[in-house]
Amino acid sequence: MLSALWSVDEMLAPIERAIRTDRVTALAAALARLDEAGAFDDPALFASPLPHRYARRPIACDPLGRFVVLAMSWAPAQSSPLHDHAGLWGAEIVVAGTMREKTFRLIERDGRDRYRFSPERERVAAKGEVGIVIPPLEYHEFGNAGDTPARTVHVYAGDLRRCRSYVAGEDGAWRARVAELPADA
Amino acid sequence: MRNATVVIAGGGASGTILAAAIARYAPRAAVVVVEPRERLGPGLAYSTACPDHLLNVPAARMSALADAPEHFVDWLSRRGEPYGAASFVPRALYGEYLACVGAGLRHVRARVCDASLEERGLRICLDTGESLDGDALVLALGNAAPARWPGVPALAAHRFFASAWEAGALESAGDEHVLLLGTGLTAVDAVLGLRFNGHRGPISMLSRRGLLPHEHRVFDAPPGGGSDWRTRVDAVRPQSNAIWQRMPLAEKRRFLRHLMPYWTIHRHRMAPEVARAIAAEIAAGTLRMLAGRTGELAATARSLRVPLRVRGSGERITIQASRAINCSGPEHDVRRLGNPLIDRLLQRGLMVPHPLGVGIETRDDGALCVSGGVAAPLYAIGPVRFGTLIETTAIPEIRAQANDLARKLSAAACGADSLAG
Repeated sequence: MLSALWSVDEMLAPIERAIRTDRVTALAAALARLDEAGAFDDPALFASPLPHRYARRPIACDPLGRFVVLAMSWAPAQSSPLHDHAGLWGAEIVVAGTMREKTFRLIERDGRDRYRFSPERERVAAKGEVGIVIPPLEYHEFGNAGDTPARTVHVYAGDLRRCRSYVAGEDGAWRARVAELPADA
Repeated sequence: MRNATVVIAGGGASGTILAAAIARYAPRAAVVVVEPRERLGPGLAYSTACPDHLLNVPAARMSALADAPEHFVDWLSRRGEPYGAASFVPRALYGEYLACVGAGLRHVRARVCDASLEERGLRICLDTGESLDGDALVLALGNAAPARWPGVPALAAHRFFASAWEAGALESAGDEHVLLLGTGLTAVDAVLGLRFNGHRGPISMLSRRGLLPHEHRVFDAPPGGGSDWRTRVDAVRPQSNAIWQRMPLAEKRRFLRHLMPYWTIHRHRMAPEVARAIAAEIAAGTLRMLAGRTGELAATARSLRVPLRVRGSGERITIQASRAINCSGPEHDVRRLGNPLIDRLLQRGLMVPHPLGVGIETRDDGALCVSGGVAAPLYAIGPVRFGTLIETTAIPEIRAQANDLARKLSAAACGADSLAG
């Protein structure tokens, strides 16, 4: 298999260059080129989805803390709750299956930590398609849209270990809770 | 004593914001806005109907009133629009807002084409053949069209658009290749406009350096501590004009020639939604970025050809496209704008081009410098002050200029003579 030729270092070089440009356009292009070249084809990069949630595995962490590369895998119907990205920017590419992304716009956050969101757009992304996270456009739900397993690779410009996820209340306001993000073997 | 009359040439964003400020500070002054469009407010900049054309500044900084910074966000919230203070709002919606700001102002549908100093004030001629008497005239002309592209062959004329805002420029060209001459925010708007109109074919963006604007990021505090360069660039902004005005002329020239393109892509950034769309296009290969020097445009019966010497490699290639759109920056040389009012004022010596060759010379209060030092009650607001100022195109600067000018005109409103002071 071609992807067996890819070492993590080879994968990281173009990502690191893109992060240094500090541009989502460069990062999106780098991920697309890596995917075309088969860098993310090896299923061994990914952990298996758990029965109750998707799997999340950090495959590389920049020693200087400038970025993290995450491999995620999703069983059919698995999805993340509405969450933010701790103010980080980044890019996410679908490398197998199809994913659905619903993005939200933060309208208001009141003094009692209640959040008001408005749906922004919904799209289905196929293999090779890149999604972008840029604050304040960092709130979304992301999940498997198909009936086969899906795999995604995410790069964020910082060490994303916790973020906030949001739960809708009956009054239409959302409440945040801090989510410690798992690192699956 | 009669009340002073202020005539504003141009009823786009800057003219409308100024008129609203005068109404607030100088309620006794009579204000007339001369604008050919049906509505005051949107002008060219905020008339685009494409919902993907967004403001380049978060809503929190877009109030039209300098002393009511929440005005726009409150307006959005009262209307139930799904945007918050950090949102990048469609420009069409901002145009609606400006139309509300401009509602009720005295509006004459025409263009100002000349002004002359008479004994009792200004005589202001309109393109309708009518004229107005005024105590002061303010030029609020907005952004100029792009500099003329040299040598467009007649055979290519129907394939070449002198500006992205010309009728038909952003219509779909089906599966054909469209070439955008420029890689800045206007070219980015052109990509979004073409796609919104259903264009499926490849698009290329081309400029000498191939510099794409950076993207905005808005957060409460920079993640991971420290500070983001954006914060520092934005922090310079209130001082930029003071720094600029202290720079020697030779240094300003060097800045405009060598550094301006780099300053611009850091200072004027893409909204996150826009950066997301552009990043997806570049990743998918449907949008190509090119850098280099172009040769003369040529045309065949079926396409345009643009020779390009690629920056870096020096390789010579020819780009073929079914359409080319001039998306380069605005023409800054006022002598080449072809604006009848500016041409007449230059002839009359009531306006002096800036020695840098960009914009006009204005004083700190926005008054036009005139040749021979005769004081005239002529003022300018917005982009035409570029040259004297380095920051003069965005709403936060325009509303500050409007406030200063309104206060000045208000202080002078009781004695019309001193409007020239």
